[in-house]
Amino acid sequence: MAAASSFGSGSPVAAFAALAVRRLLWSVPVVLLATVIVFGLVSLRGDPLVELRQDPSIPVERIEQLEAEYHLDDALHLQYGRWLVDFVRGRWGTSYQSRLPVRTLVAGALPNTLLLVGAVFVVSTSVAVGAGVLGASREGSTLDHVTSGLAYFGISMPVFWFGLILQLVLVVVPLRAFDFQLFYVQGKYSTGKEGDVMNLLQHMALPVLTLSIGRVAVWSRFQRAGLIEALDADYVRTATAKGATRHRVIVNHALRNSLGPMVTVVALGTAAMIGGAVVTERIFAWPGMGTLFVSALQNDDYPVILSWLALVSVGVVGANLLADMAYRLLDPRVRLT
Amino acid sequence: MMPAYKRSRAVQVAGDGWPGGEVAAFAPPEWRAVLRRFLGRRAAVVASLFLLLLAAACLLAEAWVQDPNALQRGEPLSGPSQQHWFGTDELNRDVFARVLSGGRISLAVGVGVTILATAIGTVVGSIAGYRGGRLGDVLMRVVDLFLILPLLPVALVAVSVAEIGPLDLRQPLGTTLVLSFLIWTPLARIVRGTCLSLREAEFVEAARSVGASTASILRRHILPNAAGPIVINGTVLVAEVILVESAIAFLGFGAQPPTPTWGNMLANSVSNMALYPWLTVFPGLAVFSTVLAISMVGDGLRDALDPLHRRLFQ
Repeated sequence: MAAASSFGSGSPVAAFAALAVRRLLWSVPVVLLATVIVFGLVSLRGDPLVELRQDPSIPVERIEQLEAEYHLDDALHLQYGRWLVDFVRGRWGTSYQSRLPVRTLVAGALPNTLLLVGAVFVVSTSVAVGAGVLGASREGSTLDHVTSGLAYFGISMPVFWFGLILQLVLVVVPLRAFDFQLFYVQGKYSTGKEGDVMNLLQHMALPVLTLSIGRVAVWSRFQRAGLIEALDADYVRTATAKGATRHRVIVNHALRNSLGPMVTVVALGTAAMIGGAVVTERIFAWPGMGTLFVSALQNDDYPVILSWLALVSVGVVGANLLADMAYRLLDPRVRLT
Repeated sequence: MMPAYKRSRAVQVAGDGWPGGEVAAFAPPEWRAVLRRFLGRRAAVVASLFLLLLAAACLLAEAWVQDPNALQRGEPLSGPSQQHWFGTDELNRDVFARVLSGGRISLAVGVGVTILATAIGTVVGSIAGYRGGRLGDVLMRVVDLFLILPLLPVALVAVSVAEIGPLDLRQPLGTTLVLSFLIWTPLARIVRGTCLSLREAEFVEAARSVGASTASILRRHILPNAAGPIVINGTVLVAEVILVESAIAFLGFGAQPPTPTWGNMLANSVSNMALYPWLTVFPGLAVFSTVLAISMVGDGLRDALDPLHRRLFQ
């Protein structure tokens, strides 16, 4: 690793690893507190069995069995302690609604969300970096104004409305006018076409587009700002004075230095999507974490809600940590501070 | 009469989050110059006028247009016409009246949360930054904590609690309290930064040495320096809150029908979007144009308050 020399004395890799571990340990109490808040909020919702109790077709023994199974009679802090220990050990309980283990539900939903988020990540970063670089390298041009103007629209667009309008314009209207359907608006595959990649892409296109517009808008502005700033630096003037072309100056000198802040923004934005794709997944009936969460919320499915929130919080902390470390690797000036 | 040292310029090295971490100078904004620069931005002025008009229309809607739940004569589900600008819905109610009525809720929640969250963020941020010490550390850990909780899902769980005593969390007042409680943290960080960098400044030292109380030092000497970022953060908040509030309502956890909100009107329209597109188009257009106008005002304010920023994020 060529950059390792800038770590200073001692074993550089070990020092960096120690820093990473220290950060990791710091995040443990924060995650614990987050689970306390989550648990408190969910408990505030009251008796989870209230509907079952009112249902005359369910025998009292069944209710008592459920109370015992979930320890609903215990004091709150005992319930929390037991839930936490179980959660850490990977015993996430059973869904009230479907009677399936929460782990099975998450194992079914998480890959779908990761697929969606991954696609959005690829599309959004490439478009955002491209648009940002174009805007910054021709600062003040018509192209720059147009991309900045589009970014405005993207930032202000409510995802749920954008998703619906996309459905209306790209699916409903062509279907009625020409009896032609290129994109699908519900689920992951059409019935009978499971595993067909083309069919999957036709289902993914609109949710990915819906989720991407906001990220492209924010990230392209960050990329633009970062690059404009990098182009002001002395080393750029030096490179230009030595006769490097504009293209070379941007690609070889300024771009890498403008990527640091982007890494943080992109990592946090991507992690937020795992929890924030709730609305989009709902609109497109995408069988991911968001759909799982909303249906759990509507059915008072406490074990699912609790594990879901805890998992997403851990994910956000993890992404935070990764972004922090990646930023340090990219920028030697802050590497070990 | 303003004391002379209030004009001293504090210079601070901007910390993380700002590209490159260059030196940024900040000082209390000169409000008259800010206003002049703001009025020079045509987009921001037009957007402010739009928002004023919208707010007035929403406030006066029931007196001026009509009851959002009143049943109209004629065919239900008729498209936009001279009589019903935005058409009518399945119960033959006027969509224009309902959009304005829903706007009152969205704007009230947006502004309410912004005021509350700004108050909480400013108080916590200044305690953490000026007092510092153990208490400051604890407060900043709390801020970290809120930053990892995903806003929309946690807000959904909170409002789905439905009732705490007499307070219905799905109603605008309850939603306002829930969102304020969840969204004050970024401002706390900003204010803390200002306080940290200024608490050893000479003009603060001077105020302390003549016996000024902590509260008055914060209020008169430190916080004016953060006024710009606080105002800018405020406009961003209004826009963000309106988006989150309508998303909550869209998912069915906001004010319940027949009370119209932009979110629940949209959710209602989904099943018949192909046949009656105006039911989908207008409530969503209301959210979009409101948030767009607020962003434009926010950008105008940012340019006016912080001319240095302008070139980077035009």
